[in-house]
Amino acid sequence: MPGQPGRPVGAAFDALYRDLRPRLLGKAALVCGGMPALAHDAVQEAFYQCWRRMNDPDAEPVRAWDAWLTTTVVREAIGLSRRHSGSIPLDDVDRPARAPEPAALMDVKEGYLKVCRAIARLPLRQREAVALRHLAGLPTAEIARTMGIETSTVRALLSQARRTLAPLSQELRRMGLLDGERGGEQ
Amino acid sequence: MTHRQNLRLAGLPAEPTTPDELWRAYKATDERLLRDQLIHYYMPLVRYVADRVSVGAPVHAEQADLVSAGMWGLFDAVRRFTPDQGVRFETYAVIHIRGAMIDELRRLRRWSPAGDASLEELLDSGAEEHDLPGAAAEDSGAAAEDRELLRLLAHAVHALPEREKTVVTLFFYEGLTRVEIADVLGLTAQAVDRLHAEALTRLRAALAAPGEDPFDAGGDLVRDMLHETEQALSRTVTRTDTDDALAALWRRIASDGQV
Repeated sequence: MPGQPGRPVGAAFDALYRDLRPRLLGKAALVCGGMPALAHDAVQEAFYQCWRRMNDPDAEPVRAWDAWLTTTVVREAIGLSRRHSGSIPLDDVDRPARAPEPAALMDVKEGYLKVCRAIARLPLRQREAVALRHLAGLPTAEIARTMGIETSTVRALLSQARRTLAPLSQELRRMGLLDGERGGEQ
Repeated sequence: MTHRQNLRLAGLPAEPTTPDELWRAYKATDERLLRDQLIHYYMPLVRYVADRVSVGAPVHAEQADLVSAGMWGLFDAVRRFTPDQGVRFETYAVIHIRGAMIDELRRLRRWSPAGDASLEELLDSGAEEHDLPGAAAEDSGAAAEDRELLRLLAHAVHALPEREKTVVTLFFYEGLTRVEIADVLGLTAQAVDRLHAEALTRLRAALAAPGEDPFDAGGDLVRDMLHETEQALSRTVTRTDTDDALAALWRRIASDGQV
């Protein structure tokens, strides 16, 4: 049934889905601290909202659907993480019960899994600020609006998270995981 | 010092004296009782200015505090005023009285021309916390964010131009008054005010400006790391996964009657 023949918007939607899903899943999985199941839910929810929005004659037009989806996925992933907060200890990343697609993470290099764990261990507000900045690409003012806090607090959260994450990025660089593996989507 | 009864008891002639006569007598003799009589005569000016200053004051100040500060201004004005130079004493005095009251307001509020209480509170709290926080990566919550903000602020203060940095440090960390700072730096109080205002503007911008943190050398590396990780995770998505997930999505859309 995918494809919805005779419905141009359905075909366009399919194309958008196939095109963006892997990248969005990667973002969502990272926001969720490496939990593919949560990431999958976040992406499905974002596309579901996307479909509704596309078919809502009253909604404001969206100029760039990929940017809209990116922001929505990151927000959904944050929301899911929040609902699961306290139940994401770091070793859950590898536990089949909480990560129903362990095979999905098998090919992921240990260095990247470390990043997932580090993200999972960040306090939620820091994680949210980092995700909105680096994964959704929002400017500080927009992050402040989204989180309902002062821009100075956003900067404090980002700076705090960065001090936790910076040593890890040095480690990844030493492992050769930061340069040279670019552009390998799919 | 300003009660008529006291002046009379002190033996001053009770007969009405015109201000002009009083001024001439006072400036000729520098007599303290004449000075007090002049102060008493012009006292209504203090209340007049206090009413106006308190209306626009950015902080709540007791009328009595303003009046007592204003009295010093009046006292100063009476001592310094030179009659017959084409300036009415009232005009001259109001400037002094007002200045004294504004100094008092600044003292009450620790100097806030821009009305930015939060930044100044932060600077104050930073001044109290002698060793600014070191790495506290593990702890979360509001206290940690405050400390982080203080750390950012300390960096921002450090990055100020030399003279602005000195003014901010002397004022917030050493508790000097603007006049004392002016003395130390060999500047006028107005120049100190200006440096102070410029420093606050810069600090506010440093804390609030969107964009990258200027003290943040490792920022790009962190962003790169997140992007690489994101891509590594997305590479694990296979085509079959996507087909199945898309089918599931259409089923959900159909079941909700959204098609």
